[in-house]
Amino acid sequence: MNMKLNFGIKILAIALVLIASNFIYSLWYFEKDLQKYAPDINVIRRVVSEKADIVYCGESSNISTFKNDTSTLFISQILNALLPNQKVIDFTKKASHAGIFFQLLKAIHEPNNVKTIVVTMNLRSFGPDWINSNLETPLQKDLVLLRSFPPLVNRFLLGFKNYDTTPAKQREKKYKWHLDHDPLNRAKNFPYATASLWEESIVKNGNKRNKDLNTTGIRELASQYIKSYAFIINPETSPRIRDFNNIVELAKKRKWRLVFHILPENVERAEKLVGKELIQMMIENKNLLVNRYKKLGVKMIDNLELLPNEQYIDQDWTSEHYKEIGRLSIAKTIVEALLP
Amino acid sequence: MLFNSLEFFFFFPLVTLLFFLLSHKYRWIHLLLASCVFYMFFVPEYILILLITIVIDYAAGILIENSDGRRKKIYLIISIISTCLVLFIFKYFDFFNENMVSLSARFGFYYPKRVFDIILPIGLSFHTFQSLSYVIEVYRGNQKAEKHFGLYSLYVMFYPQLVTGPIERPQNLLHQFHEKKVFNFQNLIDGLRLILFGLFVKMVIADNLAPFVDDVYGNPESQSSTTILSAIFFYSFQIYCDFLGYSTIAVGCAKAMGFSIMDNFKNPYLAKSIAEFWQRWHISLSTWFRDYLYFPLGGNKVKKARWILNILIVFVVSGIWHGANWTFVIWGTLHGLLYLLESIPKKILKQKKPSTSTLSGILKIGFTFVVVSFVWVFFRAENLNHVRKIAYSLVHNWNIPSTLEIPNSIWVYLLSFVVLDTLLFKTRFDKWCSTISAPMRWSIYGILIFMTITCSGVDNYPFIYFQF
Repeated sequence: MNMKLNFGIKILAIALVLIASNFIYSLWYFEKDLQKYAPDINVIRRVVSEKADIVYCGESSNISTFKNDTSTLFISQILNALLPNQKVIDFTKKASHAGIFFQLLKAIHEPNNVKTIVVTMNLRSFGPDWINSNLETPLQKDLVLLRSFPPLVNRFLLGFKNYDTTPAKQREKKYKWHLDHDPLNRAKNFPYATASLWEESIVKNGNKRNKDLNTTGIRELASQYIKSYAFIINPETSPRIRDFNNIVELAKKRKWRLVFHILPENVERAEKLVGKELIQMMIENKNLLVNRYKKLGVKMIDNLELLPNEQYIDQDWTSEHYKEIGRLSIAKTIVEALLP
Repeated sequence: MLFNSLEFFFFFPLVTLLFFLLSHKYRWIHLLLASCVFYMFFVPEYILILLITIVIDYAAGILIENSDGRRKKIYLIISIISTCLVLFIFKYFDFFNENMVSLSARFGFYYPKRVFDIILPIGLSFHTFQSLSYVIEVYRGNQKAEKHFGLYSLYVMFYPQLVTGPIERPQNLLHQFHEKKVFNFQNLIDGLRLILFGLFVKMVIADNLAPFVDDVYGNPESQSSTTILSAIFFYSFQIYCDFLGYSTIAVGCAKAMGFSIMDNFKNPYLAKSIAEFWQRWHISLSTWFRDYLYFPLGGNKVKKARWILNILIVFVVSGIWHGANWTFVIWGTLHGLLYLLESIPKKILKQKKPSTSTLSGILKIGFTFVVVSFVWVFFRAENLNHVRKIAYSLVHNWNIPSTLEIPNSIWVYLLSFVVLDTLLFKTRFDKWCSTISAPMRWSIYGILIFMTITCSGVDNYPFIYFQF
């Protein structure tokens, strides 16, 4: 009995220590930690305080500008300029994706004035390259303090690394496994079973079809196009599909109008370097997304083939970074979709 | 599974509770399964490697006990070679090949480059040494061969010390699995105290120093000499707190269930010499090398030249044990040379008793700390070129302004640790807590809990010794 009482007193004492700790932490330290480890809180607060009508979720495609651009406005800023009666606030994080957008959107306090959510749908973010990226760790870490637990619990979770901490070497291994094993030969007569085999063939024999592939840099670029886009989205297993589904659910709950816009990809260069089979694969993936989310009531914008090669900033790597005219064209398609 | 993870936060109480709820007959199964789960949180398939070494040394132990003379020795040698072979394949194969390639190129013959490039199984060197310790002790007749395969597996796999030690001796640990453990409230309290202290030193001290040290070591060329110097000393505390943290949590977890495992550290930075440092740092490894390498080589009961060689062998092997890199070899060699430099004059001159004044003691502690800190550079650096860059920047960059700011909080954490570490001289946190008044004790708990939650580093730095 004595031991039980002793134990009970100790448990009570620990509970008191924790309650006092939460009070002290919330009062003096939490805000400092939020600014340091979850700076997105400021955008979330702006959405509410500035009465945003539209929240634009994007990654580096939103904010990348070219050195010769006459206007360095971001896509979201152009959107704001084209819709002067509506306030657009953007969630922009480099290398971000739907999983991150979902957490940020969930953290928007209620009540708020938000009516529409525009989410970029980056085709590459569905592939193993992006899913197994090392940037996932810092992206996930930034979200921990935004969870809806008491401040001390959130800080505890952050300290105990309750976010994806998969080591770089394991991610690399997983990524390579997907390249080697994810089946591609669903289409009839498609000669390559996996992305690795396709890439190997391009690196070894691609120059017979395309002389440019004799150059090392170009060969690497062709190889990168395969690694970035040669995959078939499996709606049952894709974590990205799950993330977009979560956004759809959240939007339903919060009564937000939802717009997904599929970002333009450099299909012109991809076709030239790798061949039309790759474009076909990209289009099939895009169609899957459009059909799937249209059925769920989402307004879909298909910009996959919107821009020509010269509107892409990075000519030596796969990216969704657009020059001024490209950004303007994208913004216009979004405005069109938003107009009644 | 990491000790400083949310999973462990649930794992530990559950495993401890179930341990006491189950009857003694089933506890080994429970602990073994828990240990498997703990290990499989890293790379699940690597448990098969563990199984291989367990089977080899379990069989070897029985064979050694049942034979004598030459045959007994042969079994021991087979067991040692096969256990070390696993270690060699997973840890040293790439290093060996890389060096063979460069060596063959230098002498003009062809050696094909083969790269294994696999993720090193966590704690491989630790459980390999624990296994070796068992067969050697059975061979020496100090330990009876364990007939119960499950209990022997548990000796190698006991989760608190599975991945980073302390490397236990069979005489100390194995019999404890046979004993019926009765729940003891004081053991639980002591265990929890040690876990709290371990989490504090790892999460608050080591993990807050790590980003600063990483930044400096990651780009030494652009750092000022003072920044480099700070990083060198900070690394000394980082590695100590990191490893001390793990070992203390390990001892605490075992203690909560009534198991006693050895302490791995005794205030190493309060050592007055390199020899004393090695009596206080990673004690389970130092004593392993003493018992299973230094003594068999003849220890100090040989001629001086041979003794010098013995010392160097032990330190070089200890360096290699840490990692497949020349930096570790040099780190070990330097410690060996420093040890000799300190010991030879004493041996030759038959020095009088050293001065015992406080000032002289403080100076010796300071000097030893500085020397050990500089030698850690080899341990932390990625390769010898990296060491060269650090040394160059340290010597030449006195005029470069410091670009990295050290947050004031780091000094507070360090100071609080130094105070605690000094207070714990010749004692341990759990024992020390029992000697102070309840209000004082609870204030310390409160501060440690608060700091561990709110001041812990937020980036993921796995325990440094995991890589060994």
